[in-house]
Amino acid sequence: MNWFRSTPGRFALFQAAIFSVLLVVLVSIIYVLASDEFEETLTEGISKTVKHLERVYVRKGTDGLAAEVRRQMRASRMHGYFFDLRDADGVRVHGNLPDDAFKEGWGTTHIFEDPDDVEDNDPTTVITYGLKLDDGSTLVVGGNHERADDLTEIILDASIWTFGLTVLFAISSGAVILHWNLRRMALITDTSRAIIDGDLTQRIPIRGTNDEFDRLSININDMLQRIEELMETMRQVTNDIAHDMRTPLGRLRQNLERAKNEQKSVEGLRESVDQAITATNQIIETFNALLSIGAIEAGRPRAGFADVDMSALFMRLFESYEPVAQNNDQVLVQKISSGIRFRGNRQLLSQLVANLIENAVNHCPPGTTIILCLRAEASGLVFSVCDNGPGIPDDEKDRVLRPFYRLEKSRTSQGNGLGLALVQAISRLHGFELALVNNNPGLCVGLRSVQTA
Amino acid sequence: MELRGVLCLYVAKAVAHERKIMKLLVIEDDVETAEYIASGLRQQGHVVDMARDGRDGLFLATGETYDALIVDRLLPVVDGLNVVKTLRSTGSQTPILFLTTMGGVDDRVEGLDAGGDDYLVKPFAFVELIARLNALARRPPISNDESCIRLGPLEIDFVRRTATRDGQTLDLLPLEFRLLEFFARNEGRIVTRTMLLERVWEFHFDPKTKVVEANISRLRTKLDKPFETPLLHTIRGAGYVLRAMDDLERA
Repeated sequence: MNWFRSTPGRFALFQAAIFSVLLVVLVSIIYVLASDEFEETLTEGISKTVKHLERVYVRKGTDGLAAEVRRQMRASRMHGYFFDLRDADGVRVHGNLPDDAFKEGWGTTHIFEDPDDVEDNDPTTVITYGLKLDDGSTLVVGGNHERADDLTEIILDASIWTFGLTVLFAISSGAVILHWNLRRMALITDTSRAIIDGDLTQRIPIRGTNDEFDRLSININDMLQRIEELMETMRQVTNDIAHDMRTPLGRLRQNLERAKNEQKSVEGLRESVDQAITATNQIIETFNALLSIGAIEAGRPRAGFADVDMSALFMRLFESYEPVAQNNDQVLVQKISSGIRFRGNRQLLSQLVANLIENAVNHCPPGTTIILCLRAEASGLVFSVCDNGPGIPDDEKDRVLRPFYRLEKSRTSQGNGLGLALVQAISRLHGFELALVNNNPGLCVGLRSVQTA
Repeated sequence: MELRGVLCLYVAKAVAHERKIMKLLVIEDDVETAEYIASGLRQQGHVVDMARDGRDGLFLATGETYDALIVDRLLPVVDGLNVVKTLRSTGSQTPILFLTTMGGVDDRVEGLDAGGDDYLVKPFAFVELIARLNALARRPPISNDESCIRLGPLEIDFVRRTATRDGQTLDLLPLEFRLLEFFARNEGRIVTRTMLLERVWEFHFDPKTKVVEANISRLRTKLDKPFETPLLHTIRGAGYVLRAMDDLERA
């Protein structure tokens, strides 16, 4: 496990470092406060003793002082106080401090607690206060710094333990997270690798915990689904193009051959050429439609989105197609609510609705009623083109949306089968949901959007 | 008979005969296409200069005065879009028609935004090119500011959206009025089906039904059928034309 190559690993190390620093700071503060407190208590005690001895000296003189010092020494064995009284020549009168202990004012010195123990290598620090008396003798009162020293040791020990435990904890919890992370990531990376290597059907397993890995995996799976669909579409399209283009291309060739071999008159030649041009136009149309579908699927027109008056757009289309329907002995009816607006590409939206109407007009027999509907609902806008014609058999419904798919019965009629594929591309671009519903009888193509302008 | 407000005083003058010779510049790098366009235009009697790349095109366009420019978008050295932008920035008002394979939804908008006046996608029918050039290169006899015009027996009020022929009101639906308006503004000139689809319907695709034909038929029923002389004519292989003014009114 490389700690530095993973985010949780780096984070765990970072945490350990932070905690250590914090700990050191905390411990230092405690130490400083506690030892200050100890020092104060000690120095206060020493000061009090010094003052008391001074008073004794003043009242009882040198002898009185000596007696008092001796008394204090005996009593102090347990209080941790030390004394040193020397005369003007430096000869000790009473005391248990080393010779060089005297220093005027505050100072420090060291003693060995048990003078009989030769193996004692650990001297105790003694805080001293030295006083020079009028007659030249010196008095030193000292206090045992032992407690403070012990305190330092305790704090040091405690911090080392805490430090160690914290680091251990940080690292072990980091290791657990790291391991766990790696396992989830490994799932994703392994599945991705399998997919990249060619198996598009694979999906990343979802653990059902709805955590960020699951959410990521779900999104990746959706992406893969879309890619699979697009690839399938492409495969189908290439197939279908080849298949569907054969007819007009064949016709084109026939016309040109006829022009070359059979036609003798200029009129005949002209006619063959005209028919060849018509076939060519059909091919061009198909390619244009394919190109637009391609561009739309790529999402480019989204940049040209603007506020569109949908009600007006629908009304115009109704007006335009009403005569067409009438010429076909069909009835076009509108149920268009007013004031509906939407954010999208006006041209494409026109094309979408026109396409649906034209499909109904072209695929339904005379006598059919076609209804163009637009309304707003709480969640967004809803529109549809419904007819009471022959409808689409249920088993063909899914396939009908694929490019070039033509219903079996309309394989012979005009057109190139790209209409509904275009409809789907445009509706996807605008975030519409498309549904083909049985109208009993007939077909209803409905679209719904969850966006409002 | 209802009282009309201000009488429609503006009487349009017909355009000069369409066969007037135009001076055109074709900027196209594909040799075959350029020759095809040039020879077709010359057959119509026009004078055609050619440029093979954007820089030459710009040079010629700034040096001479043309009735119209035909510009391909994908050009070497300087591309079509930049040629047009540069020309417009110099203040040139020459009508420019883009002729290009780039037929995407946004490409057209890009071309028109750059300063082009029309946008024709390849492959194209020659009649389409001619019709559009005519529409572009002639100064329209009816300026867009006029609120009301008279074309022979026709009177059209653009503000009130009404039309009359020989004094009789024509009961037109909004779409039919828009159709008539478009024809009126292009009186005497051939208007192709594609032009109608693009301008009146704002369809930039080819419909699978006879939308244009059906609506023209409807318009004819209201505009021509009740009267003696038809004004709206179909030109086979090309398009439609509204001829409302007689030859006396033509300059």
